[in-house]
Amino acid sequence: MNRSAYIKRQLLSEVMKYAFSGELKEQVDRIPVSLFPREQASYRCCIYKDRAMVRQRILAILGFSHEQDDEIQPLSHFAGLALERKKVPGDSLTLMPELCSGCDGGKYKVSDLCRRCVARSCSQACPRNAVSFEGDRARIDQESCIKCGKCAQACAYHAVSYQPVPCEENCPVDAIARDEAGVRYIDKNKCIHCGRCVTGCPFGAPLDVSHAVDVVQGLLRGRKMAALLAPAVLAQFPEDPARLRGALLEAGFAAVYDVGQGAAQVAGMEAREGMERIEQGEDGALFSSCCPAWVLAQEKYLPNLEKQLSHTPSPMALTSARLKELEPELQTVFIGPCFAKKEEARSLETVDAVLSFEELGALLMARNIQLEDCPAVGYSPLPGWEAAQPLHWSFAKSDGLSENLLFAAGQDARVETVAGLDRKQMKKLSMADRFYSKKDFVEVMACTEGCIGGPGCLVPPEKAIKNFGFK
Amino acid sequence: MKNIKIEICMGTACYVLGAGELLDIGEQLPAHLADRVTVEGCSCKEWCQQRNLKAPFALVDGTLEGELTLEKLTGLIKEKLL
Repeated sequence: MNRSAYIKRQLLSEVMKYAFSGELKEQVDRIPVSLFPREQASYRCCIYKDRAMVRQRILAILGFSHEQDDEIQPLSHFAGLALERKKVPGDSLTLMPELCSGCDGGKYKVSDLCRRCVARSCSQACPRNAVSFEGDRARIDQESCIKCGKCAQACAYHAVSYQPVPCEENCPVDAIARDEAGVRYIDKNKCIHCGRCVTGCPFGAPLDVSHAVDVVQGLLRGRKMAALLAPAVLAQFPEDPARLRGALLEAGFAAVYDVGQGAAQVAGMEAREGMERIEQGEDGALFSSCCPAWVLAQEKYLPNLEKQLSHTPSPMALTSARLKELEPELQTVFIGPCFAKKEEARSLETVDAVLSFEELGALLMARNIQLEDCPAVGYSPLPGWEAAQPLHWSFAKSDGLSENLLFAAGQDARVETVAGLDRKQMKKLSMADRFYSKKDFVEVMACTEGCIGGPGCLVPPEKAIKNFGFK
Repeated sequence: MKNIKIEICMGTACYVLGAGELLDIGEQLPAHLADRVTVEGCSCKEWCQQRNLKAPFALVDGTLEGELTLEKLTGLIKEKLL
Protein backbone atom coordinates (compact mmCIF):
# COMPACT_ATOMS: atom_id res chain seq x y z
CA MET A 1 0.00 0.00 0.00
CA ASN A 2 1.59 3.28 -0.97
CA ARG A 3 2.76 5.47 1.90
CA SER A 4 0.71 8.46 0.77
CA ALA A 5 -2.49 6.43 1.04
CA TYR A 6 -1.30 5.03 4.38
CA ILE A 7 -0.79 8.53 5.79
CA LYS A 8 -4.18 9.66 4.49
CA ARG A 9 -5.98 6.78 6.19
CA GLN A 10 -4.08 7.26 9.46
CA LEU A 11 -5.00 10.93 9.46
CA LEU A 12 -8.65 10.26 8.61
CA SER A 13 -8.95 7.87 11.51
CA GLU A 14 -7.19 10.20 13.97
CA VAL A 15 -9.41 13.14 13.03
CA MET A 16 -12.56 11.03 13.27
CA LYS A 17 -11.45 9.52 16.56
CA TYR A 18 -11.15 12.99 18.13
CA ALA A 19 -14.35 14.15 16.47
CA PHE A 20 -16.18 11.25 18.10
CA SER A 21 -14.60 11.87 21.51
CA GLY A 22 -15.42 15.58 21.38
CA GLU A 23 -11.73 16.56 21.59
CA LEU A 24 -11.18 17.63 18.00
CA LYS A 25 -10.35 21.30 18.66
CA GLU A 26 -8.01 20.42 21.52
CA GLN A 27 -6.14 17.60 19.81
CA VAL A 28 -6.09 18.30 16.08
CA ASP A 29 -2.94 20.48 16.16
CA ARG A 30 -1.14 17.71 17.96
CA ILE A 31 -1.70 15.18 15.16
CA PRO A 32 1.08 16.41 12.80
CA VAL A 33 3.50 16.47 15.75
CA SER A 34 2.62 13.06 17.17
CA LEU A 35 2.61 11.31 13.78
CA PHE A 36 5.75 13.12 12.65
CA PRO A 37 8.00 13.40 15.71
CA ARG A 38 11.22 15.36 15.34
CA GLU A 39 13.48 12.29 15.38
CA GLN A 40 11.62 10.50 12.59
CA ALA A 41 13.22 10.31 9.13
CA SER A 42 11.35 12.81 6.95
CA TYR A 43 9.67 12.17 3.60
CA ARG A 44 10.32 15.69 2.29
CA CYS A 45 13.19 18.06 3.00
CA CYS A 46 12.74 18.06 6.73
CA ILE A 47 10.26 17.01 9.40
CA TYR A 48 8.79 20.53 9.47
CA LYS A 49 7.89 20.31 5.80
CA ASP A 50 6.29 16.93 6.56
CA ARG A 51 4.25 18.55 9.32
CA ALA A 52 3.21 21.39 6.99
CA MET A 53 2.02 18.78 4.48
CA VAL A 54 0.12 16.93 7.18
CA ARG A 55 -1.51 20.17 8.29
CA GLN A 56 -2.91 20.71 4.80
CA ARG A 57 -3.99 17.08 4.50
CA ILE A 58 -5.90 17.55 7.73
CA LEU A 59 -7.46 20.71 6.33
CA ALA A 60 -8.91 18.69 3.45
CA ILE A 61 -10.12 16.06 5.93
CA LEU A 62 -11.82 18.80 7.93
CA GLY A 63 -13.56 19.84 4.72
CA PHE A 64 -11.55 22.80 3.49
CA SER A 65 -10.08 23.65 0.08
CA HIS A 66 -6.69 25.26 -0.47
CA GLU A 67 -8.24 28.72 -1.05
CA GLN A 68 -9.68 28.62 2.45
CA ASP A 69 -6.38 28.08 4.21
CA ASP A 70 -4.86 30.79 6.38
CA GLU A 71 -1.32 29.82 7.32
CA ILE A 72 -1.27 31.63 10.64
CA GLN A 73 -4.44 29.92 11.85
CA PRO A 74 -3.96 26.68 13.77
CA LEU A 75 -5.98 23.62 12.79
CA SER A 76 -8.13 24.11 15.89
CA HIS A 77 -9.57 27.22 14.24
CA PHE A 78 -10.64 25.18 11.20
CA ALA A 79 -11.87 22.34 13.38
CA GLY A 80 -14.12 24.85 15.14
CA LEU A 81 -15.57 26.01 11.81
CA ALA A 82 -16.10 22.43 10.67
CA LEU A 83 -17.89 21.46 13.86
CA GLU A 84 -20.31 24.38 13.60
CA ARG A 85 -21.12 24.40 9.90
CA LYS A 86 -24.62 23.53 8.78
CA LYS A 87 -23.85 22.26 5.30
CA VAL A 88 -21.23 19.96 3.89
CA PRO A 89 -18.28 21.55 2.03
CA GLY A 90 -18.93 22.68 -1.53
CA ASP A 91 -15.78 21.46 -3.25
CA SER A 92 -15.14 17.78 -3.80
CA LEU A 93 -11.46 18.05 -4.74
CA THR A 94 -8.65 20.42 -3.90
CA LEU A 95 -4.92 20.51 -4.60
CA MET A 96 -2.92 21.51 -1.53
CA PRO A 97 0.14 23.61 -2.40
CA GLU A 98 2.35 22.39 0.48
CA LEU A 99 2.11 18.86 -0.82
CA CYS A 100 2.70 19.72 -4.48
CA SER A 101 6.33 19.29 -5.48
CA GLY A 102 5.88 21.55 -8.52
CA CYS A 103 6.96 18.87 -11.02
CA ASP A 104 9.22 20.20 -13.73
CA GLY A 105 8.01 17.50 -16.08
CA GLY A 106 6.14 16.85 -19.28
CA LYS A 107 9.56 16.81 -20.95
CA TYR A 108 12.24 14.55 -22.26
CA LYS A 109 15.30 14.67 -20.01
CA VAL A 110 18.85 13.35 -20.16
CA SER A 111 19.86 11.46 -17.00
CA ASP A 112 23.31 10.68 -15.62
CA LEU A 113 23.14 7.39 -17.53
CA CYS A 114 24.37 9.48 -20.44
CA ARG A 115 28.03 8.65 -21.12
CA ARG A 116 28.66 11.48 -23.53
CA CYS A 117 29.36 8.94 -26.23
CA VAL A 118 30.98 9.40 -29.58
CA ALA A 119 28.05 8.24 -31.75
CA ARG A 120 25.66 10.94 -30.42
CA SER A 121 22.69 9.03 -31.83
CA CYS A 122 20.32 11.23 -29.85
CA SER A 123 21.37 14.32 -31.70
CA GLN A 124 21.35 12.46 -35.02
CA ALA A 125 17.78 11.29 -34.41
CA CYS A 126 16.41 14.67 -33.43
CA PRO A 127 14.35 16.30 -36.22
CA ARG A 128 14.69 19.76 -34.67
CA ASN A 129 18.38 19.91 -33.73
CA ALA A 130 17.40 20.27 -30.11
CA VAL A 131 20.24 18.16 -28.67
CA SER A 132 23.60 19.73 -27.82
CA PHE A 133 26.70 18.65 -25.86
CA GLU A 134 27.97 21.41 -23.58
CA GLY A 135 28.90 20.01 -20.15
CA ASP A 136 29.08 16.40 -18.98
CA ARG A 137 26.05 15.05 -20.80
CA ALA A 138 23.76 15.63 -23.76
CA ARG A 139 21.35 18.51 -23.30
CA ILE A 140 17.89 18.99 -24.76
CA ASP A 141 16.76 22.51 -25.65
CA GLN A 142 13.20 22.40 -24.38
CA GLU A 143 12.14 25.37 -26.53
CA SER A 144 12.92 23.49 -29.73
CA CYS A 145 11.96 20.02 -28.54
CA ILE A 146 8.74 18.67 -30.09
CA LYS A 147 8.57 15.64 -27.74
CA CYS A 148 8.72 13.08 -30.53
CA GLY A 149 10.83 10.73 -28.37
CA LYS A 150 13.25 9.79 -31.15
CA CYS A 151 16.28 10.70 -29.00
CA ALA A 152 15.06 8.38 -26.24
CA GLN A 153 14.63 5.53 -28.70
CA ALA A 154 18.04 6.13 -30.24
CA CYS A 155 20.11 6.17 -27.05
CA ALA A 156 21.94 2.88 -26.45
CA TYR A 157 22.20 3.61 -22.72
CA HIS A 158 18.52 4.46 -22.25
CA ALA A 159 19.74 7.73 -20.86
CA VAL A 160 16.87 9.81 -22.24
CA SER A 161 13.39 9.45 -20.81
CA TYR A 162 10.10 11.24 -20.69
CA GLN A 163 9.37 12.55 -17.24
CA PRO A 164 5.65 12.99 -16.81
CA VAL A 165 3.68 15.24 -14.51
CA PRO A 166 1.45 12.52 -13.10
CA CYS A 167 -1.55 14.66 -12.19
CA GLU A 168 -1.58 16.24 -15.66
CA GLU A 169 -1.06 12.91 -17.42
CA ASN A 170 -3.85 11.25 -15.48
CA CYS A 171 -6.38 14.01 -16.02
CA PRO A 172 -8.58 13.14 -19.01
CA VAL A 173 -9.73 16.72 -19.55
CA ASP A 174 -6.65 18.87 -19.06
CA ALA A 175 -8.00 20.45 -15.89
CA ILE A 176 -4.69 20.87 -14.08
CA ALA A 177 -3.18 24.35 -14.35
CA ARG A 178 -0.03 25.81 -12.82
CA ASP A 179 1.09 29.04 -11.23
CA GLU A 180 4.42 30.83 -11.90
CA ALA A 181 6.23 28.67 -9.34
CA GLY A 182 5.04 25.47 -10.98
CA VAL A 183 2.64 24.62 -8.15
CA ARG A 184 -0.40 23.01 -9.71
CA TYR A 185 -4.05 23.72 -9.07
CA ILE A 186 -7.32 22.28 -10.30
CA ASP A 187 -9.22 24.42 -12.79
CA LYS A 188 -12.76 24.08 -11.42
CA ASN A 189 -14.38 25.02 -14.71
CA LYS A 190 -12.70 22.13 -16.46
CA CYS A 191 -12.65 19.49 -13.72
CA ILE A 192 -15.02 16.50 -13.97
CA HIS A 193 -14.21 15.28 -10.42
CA CYS A 194 -13.12 11.83 -11.54
CA GLY A 195 -10.28 11.78 -8.98
CA ARG A 196 -7.59 10.35 -11.27
CA CYS A 197 -5.26 13.14 -10.17
CA VAL A 198 -5.76 12.12 -6.55
CA THR A 199 -4.71 8.52 -7.08
CA GLY A 200 -2.04 9.44 -9.62
CA CYS A 201 0.01 12.03 -7.70
CA PRO A 202 2.97 10.45 -5.90
CA PHE A 203 3.02 13.36 -3.44
CA GLY A 204 -0.65 13.12 -2.57
CA ALA A 205 -1.20 16.79 -3.41
CA PRO A 206 -4.68 16.56 -4.96
CA LEU A 207 -7.09 15.51 -2.24
CA ASP A 208 -10.75 14.76 -1.75
CA VAL A 209 -12.50 17.24 0.53
CA SER A 210 -14.16 15.27 3.26
CA HIS A 211 -17.63 15.29 4.81
CA ALA A 212 -16.25 13.19 7.68
CA VAL A 213 -16.75 15.81 10.40
CA ASP A 214 -20.28 16.54 9.21
CA VAL A 215 -21.22 12.86 9.36
CA VAL A 216 -19.65 12.37 12.81
CA GLN A 217 -21.45 15.46 14.13
CA GLY A 218 -24.73 14.14 12.76
CA LEU A 219 -24.23 10.83 14.53
CA LEU A 220 -23.21 12.53 17.80
CA ARG A 221 -26.20 14.86 17.72
CA GLY A 222 -28.53 11.89 17.38
CA ARG A 223 -29.78 12.86 13.92
CA LYS A 224 -31.57 10.00 12.20
CA MET A 225 -29.03 8.94 9.57
CA ALA A 226 -29.28 6.40 6.80
CA ALA A 227 -26.26 4.91 5.09
CA LEU A 228 -26.76 4.34 1.37
CA LEU A 229 -24.21 1.77 0.26
CA ALA A 230 -22.98 1.74 -3.33
CA PRO A 231 -22.80 -1.72 -5.00
CA ALA A 232 -19.00 -1.55 -5.07
CA VAL A 233 -19.05 -2.07 -1.31
CA LEU A 234 -19.18 -5.81 -1.96
CA ALA A 235 -15.46 -6.10 -2.41
CA GLN A 236 -14.17 -3.54 0.06
CA PHE A 237 -13.98 -5.46 3.33
CA PRO A 238 -12.92 -9.04 4.06
CA GLU A 239 -16.26 -9.78 5.68
CA ASP A 240 -19.67 -10.25 4.09
CA PRO A 241 -21.57 -6.97 3.49
CA ALA A 242 -24.13 -8.18 6.03
CA ARG A 243 -21.55 -7.58 8.75
CA LEU A 244 -20.82 -4.15 7.37
CA ARG A 245 -24.49 -3.24 7.65
CA GLY A 246 -24.35 -4.38 11.26
CA ALA A 247 -21.21 -2.33 11.80
CA LEU A 248 -22.87 0.82 10.48
CA LEU A 249 -25.78 0.31 12.86
CA GLU A 250 -23.26 -0.12 15.70
CA ALA A 251 -21.66 3.14 14.63
CA GLY A 252 -24.96 4.95 15.11
CA PHE A 253 -26.65 4.90 11.72
CA ALA A 254 -30.38 4.32 12.06
CA ALA A 255 -30.69 2.36 8.83
CA VAL A 256 -28.66 0.95 5.98
CA TYR A 257 -29.90 0.72 2.40
CA ASP A 258 -28.32 -0.72 -0.70
CA VAL A 259 -28.16 1.57 -3.70
CA GLY A 260 -27.85 -1.59 -5.81
CA GLN A 261 -31.62 -1.84 -5.63
CA GLY A 262 -31.89 1.63 -7.12
CA ALA A 263 -29.39 0.57 -9.76
CA ALA A 264 -31.55 -2.38 -10.78
CA GLN A 265 -34.45 0.02 -11.29
CA VAL A 266 -32.29 2.45 -13.24
CA ALA A 267 -31.26 -0.31 -15.63
CA GLY A 268 -34.91 -1.05 -16.35
CA MET A 269 -35.71 2.63 -16.86
CA GLU A 270 -32.74 3.16 -19.18
CA ALA A 271 -33.64 0.09 -21.18
CA ARG A 272 -37.16 1.46 -21.71
CA GLU A 273 -35.77 4.90 -22.57
CA GLY A 274 -33.42 3.31 -25.10
CA MET A 275 -36.13 1.24 -26.70
CA GLU A 276 -38.39 4.30 -27.03
CA ARG A 277 -35.58 6.10 -28.80
CA ILE A 278 -35.26 3.23 -31.26
CA GLU A 279 -39.04 3.10 -31.83
CA GLN A 280 -39.13 6.84 -32.46
CA GLY A 281 -36.29 6.49 -34.96
CA GLU A 282 -33.87 8.66 -33.00
CA ASP A 283 -30.29 8.66 -34.19
CA GLY A 284 -27.40 7.33 -32.21
CA ALA A 285 -26.96 5.28 -29.06
CA LEU A 286 -28.33 6.11 -25.63
CA PHE A 287 -25.46 6.93 -23.27
CA SER A 288 -25.78 5.97 -19.59
CA SER A 289 -26.10 8.67 -16.93
CA CYS A 290 -25.24 6.92 -13.68
CA CYS A 291 -21.59 7.96 -13.60
CA PRO A 292 -21.44 11.63 -12.51
CA ALA A 293 -17.91 12.23 -13.82
CA TRP A 294 -19.06 11.01 -17.22
CA VAL A 295 -22.17 13.20 -17.07
CA LEU A 296 -19.99 16.24 -16.34
CA ALA A 297 -17.60 15.27 -19.13
CA GLN A 298 -20.49 15.17 -21.56
CA GLU A 299 -21.88 18.51 -20.35
CA LYS A 300 -18.57 20.32 -20.52
CA TYR A 301 -16.86 18.72 -23.49
CA LEU A 302 -19.26 16.73 -25.65
CA PRO A 303 -22.26 18.96 -26.40
CA ASN A 304 -22.99 16.85 -29.49
CA LEU A 305 -24.05 14.02 -27.24
CA GLU A 306 -26.55 16.09 -25.26
CA LYS A 307 -29.58 14.52 -26.90
CA GLN A 308 -28.16 11.05 -26.41
CA LEU A 309 -27.45 11.24 -22.68
CA SER A 310 -30.03 9.30 -20.70
CA HIS A 311 -32.52 11.32 -18.61
CA THR A 312 -32.80 8.52 -16.10
CA PRO A 313 -31.57 9.65 -12.68
CA SER A 314 -28.54 7.91 -11.20
CA PRO A 315 -29.07 5.06 -8.70
CA MET A 316 -27.93 7.41 -5.90
CA ALA A 317 -30.40 10.10 -7.00
CA LEU A 318 -33.28 7.64 -7.36
CA THR A 319 -32.66 5.84 -4.07
CA SER A 320 -32.13 8.99 -2.00
CA ALA A 321 -35.19 10.67 -3.52
CA ARG A 322 -37.33 7.68 -2.61
CA LEU A 323 -36.06 7.75 0.98
CA LYS A 324 -36.66 11.49 1.36
CA GLU A 325 -40.17 11.04 0.00
CA LEU A 326 -40.91 8.55 2.73
CA GLU A 327 -39.05 10.37 5.48
CA PRO A 328 -38.11 14.00 4.76
CA GLU A 329 -36.21 14.36 8.05
CA LEU A 330 -33.90 11.42 7.34
CA GLN A 331 -30.26 12.38 6.77
CA THR A 332 -28.95 10.43 3.80
CA VAL A 333 -25.26 9.58 3.62
CA PHE A 334 -24.10 7.96 0.38
CA ILE A 335 -21.07 5.74 0.93
CA GLY A 336 -19.23 4.78 -2.20
CA PRO A 337 -16.01 4.61 -4.22
CA CYS A 338 -16.57 7.94 -5.88
CA PHE A 339 -15.51 11.57 -5.43
CA ALA A 340 -17.70 12.85 -8.25
CA LYS A 341 -20.74 11.79 -6.23
CA LYS A 342 -19.97 14.69 -3.88
CA GLU A 343 -20.37 17.06 -6.81
CA GLU A 344 -23.55 15.30 -7.93
CA ALA A 345 -24.91 15.55 -4.37
CA ARG A 346 -24.51 19.34 -4.43
CA SER A 347 -27.20 19.67 -7.05
CA LEU A 348 -29.50 17.12 -5.41
CA GLU A 349 -31.57 18.02 -2.37
CA THR A 350 -31.82 14.40 -1.41
CA VAL A 351 -28.24 13.51 -0.46
CA ASP A 352 -26.95 15.15 2.72
CA ALA A 353 -23.39 13.85 2.76
CA VAL A 354 -21.06 11.60 0.82
CA LEU A 355 -18.33 9.39 2.27
CA SER A 356 -15.77 7.31 0.42
CA PHE A 357 -15.06 3.68 1.36
CA GLU A 358 -11.73 4.88 2.71
CA GLU A 359 -13.55 7.25 5.01
CA LEU A 360 -15.90 4.46 6.04
CA GLY A 361 -12.90 2.30 6.92
CA ALA A 362 -11.42 5.16 8.92
CA LEU A 363 -14.71 5.71 10.73
CA LEU A 364 -14.86 2.07 11.83
CA MET A 365 -11.18 2.29 12.84
CA ALA A 366 -11.88 5.43 14.87
CA ARG A 367 -14.67 3.67 16.76
CA ASN A 368 -12.67 0.43 17.03
CA ILE A 369 -15.56 -1.50 15.49
CA GLN A 370 -14.54 -5.01 14.43
CA LEU A 371 -16.72 -6.38 11.64
CA GLU A 372 -16.61 -9.95 12.89
CA ASP A 373 -18.14 -8.82 16.20
CA CYS A 374 -21.05 -7.10 14.50
CA PRO A 375 -24.40 -8.76 13.79
CA ALA A 376 -25.03 -9.87 10.23
CA VAL A 377 -27.86 -7.71 8.92
CA GLY A 378 -29.54 -8.91 5.75
CA TYR A 379 -30.44 -6.81 2.75
CA SER A 380 -33.73 -5.03 3.22
CA PRO A 381 -35.50 -3.49 0.25
CA LEU A 382 -36.46 0.18 0.44
CA PRO A 383 -39.90 0.69 1.99
CA GLY A 384 -42.38 0.68 -0.85
CA TRP A 385 -39.91 -0.97 -3.19
CA GLU A 386 -40.35 -4.46 -1.75
CA ALA A 387 -41.87 -5.71 -5.00
CA ALA A 388 -39.31 -3.97 -7.18
CA GLN A 389 -36.11 -5.44 -8.57
CA PRO A 390 -33.81 -6.73 -5.85
CA LEU A 391 -30.36 -5.37 -5.21
CA HIS A 392 -27.68 -6.04 -7.79
CA TRP A 393 -23.99 -6.24 -7.06
CA SER A 394 -23.14 -6.47 -10.75
CA PHE A 395 -23.33 -2.70 -11.15
CA ALA A 396 -20.10 -2.35 -9.20
CA LYS A 397 -18.10 -3.45 -12.20
CA SER A 398 -18.07 -2.17 -15.76
CA ASP A 399 -20.30 -4.32 -18.01
CA GLY A 400 -22.67 -4.74 -15.09
CA LEU A 401 -25.04 -2.08 -16.40
CA SER A 402 -24.62 -3.39 -19.95
CA GLU A 403 -25.59 -6.91 -18.94
CA ASN A 404 -28.66 -5.64 -17.16
CA LEU A 405 -29.62 -3.56 -20.18
CA LEU A 406 -29.30 -6.62 -22.41
CA PHE A 407 -31.51 -8.52 -20.01
CA ALA A 408 -34.14 -5.76 -19.98
CA ALA A 409 -34.01 -4.72 -23.62
CA GLY A 410 -33.48 -8.15 -25.18
CA GLN A 411 -30.34 -9.92 -26.31
CA ASP A 412 -30.54 -8.24 -29.73
CA ALA A 413 -29.75 -4.87 -28.24
CA ARG A 414 -26.33 -3.64 -29.31
CA VAL A 415 -24.56 -2.58 -26.14
CA GLU A 416 -21.06 -1.19 -25.74
CA THR A 417 -19.09 -0.59 -22.56
CA VAL A 418 -16.59 2.21 -22.12
CA ALA A 419 -14.66 1.27 -18.98
CA GLY A 420 -12.40 4.12 -18.02
CA LEU A 421 -12.40 7.72 -19.18
CA ASP A 422 -8.86 8.70 -20.10
CA ARG A 423 -7.67 11.17 -22.74
CA LYS A 424 -7.76 8.61 -25.51
CA GLN A 425 -11.29 7.59 -24.63
CA MET A 426 -12.47 11.21 -24.51
CA LYS A 427 -11.12 11.62 -28.03
CA LYS A 428 -13.06 8.59 -29.22
CA LEU A 429 -16.22 9.90 -27.59
CA SER A 430 -15.78 13.24 -29.33
CA MET A 431 -16.08 11.23 -32.54
CA ALA A 432 -19.09 9.26 -31.37
CA ASP A 433 -20.52 9.18 -34.91
CA ARG A 434 -17.54 7.17 -35.99
CA PHE A 435 -17.22 4.80 -33.06
CA TYR A 436 -20.66 4.37 -31.51
CA SER A 437 -23.13 4.89 -34.33
CA LYS A 438 -24.05 1.22 -34.65
CA LYS A 439 -24.92 0.83 -30.98
CA ASP A 440 -28.20 1.11 -29.09
CA PHE A 441 -26.69 1.68 -25.63
CA VAL A 442 -23.31 2.81 -24.44
CA GLU A 443 -22.39 2.32 -20.78
CA VAL A 444 -19.73 4.86 -19.80
CA MET A 445 -17.80 4.52 -16.56
CA ALA A 446 -15.08 7.05 -15.74
CA CYS A 447 -13.08 4.56 -13.70
CA THR A 448 -11.19 1.60 -15.13
CA GLU A 449 -13.11 -1.62 -14.33
CA GLY A 450 -16.07 0.56 -13.35
CA CYS A 451 -16.91 1.61 -9.80
CA ILE A 452 -14.66 -0.95 -8.14
CA GLY A 453 -11.83 1.09 -9.66
CA GLY A 454 -13.03 4.29 -8.01
CA PRO A 455 -10.56 6.58 -6.22
CA GLY A 456 -12.27 6.16 -2.84
CA CYS A 457 -11.91 2.38 -2.73
CA LEU A 458 -10.12 0.49 0.02
CA VAL A 459 -8.78 -2.21 -2.28
CA PRO A 460 -7.49 -2.05 -5.86
CA PRO A 461 -9.92 -3.36 -8.54
CA GLU A 462 -7.81 -6.44 -9.36
CA LYS A 463 -8.16 -7.57 -5.76
CA ALA A 464 -11.89 -6.86 -5.79
CA ILE A 465 -12.29 -8.96 -8.91
CA LYS A 466 -10.16 -11.78 -7.51
CA ASN A 467 -11.86 -11.92 -4.13
CA PHE A 468 -15.43 -11.57 -5.18
CA GLY A 469 -15.65 -13.34 -8.45
CA PHE A 470 -16.73 -10.47 -10.65
CA LYS A 471 -16.28 -11.66 -14.20
CA MET B 1 14.71 -27.01 7.88
CA LYS B 2 12.65 -24.56 9.81
CA ASN B 3 9.12 -23.67 8.79
CA ILE B 4 7.41 -20.56 10.06
CA LYS B 5 3.89 -19.35 10.60
CA ILE B 6 2.69 -15.83 9.94
CA GLU B 7 -0.52 -14.60 11.53
CA ILE B 8 -1.73 -11.36 10.01
CA CYS B 9 -4.21 -9.31 11.97
CA MET B 10 -7.37 -8.68 9.98
CA GLY B 11 -8.86 -6.26 12.46
CA THR B 12 -10.29 -3.03 11.10
CA ALA B 13 -7.27 -0.76 11.64
CA CYS B 14 -4.81 -3.29 10.21
CA TYR B 15 -7.08 -4.02 7.26
CA VAL B 16 -7.60 -0.35 6.38
CA LEU B 17 -3.85 0.25 6.64
CA GLY B 18 -2.98 -2.54 4.22
CA ALA B 19 -3.22 -5.98 5.88
CA GLY B 20 -5.31 -7.32 3.00
CA GLU B 21 -2.41 -7.32 0.58
CA LEU B 22 -0.10 -8.98 3.13
CA LEU B 23 -2.17 -12.15 2.89
CA ASP B 24 -0.88 -12.55 -0.66
CA ILE B 25 2.77 -12.66 0.46
CA GLY B 26 3.01 -16.32 -0.57
CA GLU B 27 2.66 -15.33 -4.22
CA GLN B 28 5.53 -12.90 -3.95
CA LEU B 29 8.06 -15.24 -2.34
CA PRO B 30 10.35 -17.50 -4.35
CA ALA B 31 8.98 -21.07 -4.35
CA HIS B 32 11.64 -22.55 -2.08
CA LEU B 33 10.73 -20.05 0.65
CA ALA B 34 6.99 -19.99 0.01
CA ASP B 35 6.82 -23.73 0.77
CA ARG B 36 8.14 -23.11 4.25
CA VAL B 37 5.74 -20.33 5.17
CA THR B 38 2.14 -20.66 6.37
CA VAL B 39 0.11 -17.48 6.20
CA GLU B 40 -3.15 -16.95 8.09
CA GLY B 41 -5.36 -14.09 9.08
CA CYS B 42 -6.26 -13.63 12.73
CA SER B 43 -8.74 -11.50 14.60
CA CYS B 44 -7.87 -8.24 16.36
CA LYS B 45 -5.74 -8.71 19.46
CA GLU B 46 -5.52 -4.99 20.22
CA TRP B 47 -1.87 -4.78 19.18
CA CYS B 48 -2.75 -1.36 17.74
CA GLN B 49 -3.33 0.00 21.24
CA GLN B 50 0.42 0.13 21.82
CA ARG B 51 1.55 3.67 21.14
CA ASN B 52 5.05 2.93 19.87
CA LEU B 53 4.10 0.52 17.07
CA LYS B 54 1.81 1.06 14.10
CA ALA B 55 -0.56 -1.10 12.10
CA PRO B 56 -0.67 -3.38 10.16
CA PHE B 57 0.52 -6.05 12.58
CA ALA B 58 1.48 -9.68 12.26
CA LEU B 59 3.07 -12.39 14.37
CA VAL B 60 6.05 -13.57 12.36
CA ASP B 61 7.28 -16.85 13.83
CA GLY B 62 6.03 -15.69 17.21
CA THR B 63 7.49 -12.16 17.07
CA LEU B 64 5.12 -9.20 16.89
CA GLU B 65 5.96 -6.94 13.97
CA GLY B 66 4.29 -3.64 13.12
CA GLU B 67 3.97 -1.15 10.27
CA LEU B 68 4.33 -4.01 7.80
CA THR B 69 4.55 -3.70 4.07
CA LEU B 70 5.03 -6.54 1.59
CA GLU B 71 8.65 -5.47 1.30
CA LYS B 72 9.28 -5.42 5.03
CA LEU B 73 7.54 -8.75 5.55
CA THR B 74 9.59 -10.37 2.77
CA GLY B 75 12.75 -9.12 4.47
CA LEU B 76 11.65 -10.54 7.84
CA ILE B 77 10.80 -13.91 6.30
CA LYS B 78 14.17 -14.15 4.64
CA GLU B 79 15.87 -13.29 7.95
CA LYS B 80 14.03 -16.10 9.69
CA LEU B 81 14.46 -18.74 7.01
CA LEU B 82 17.91 -18.11 5.63
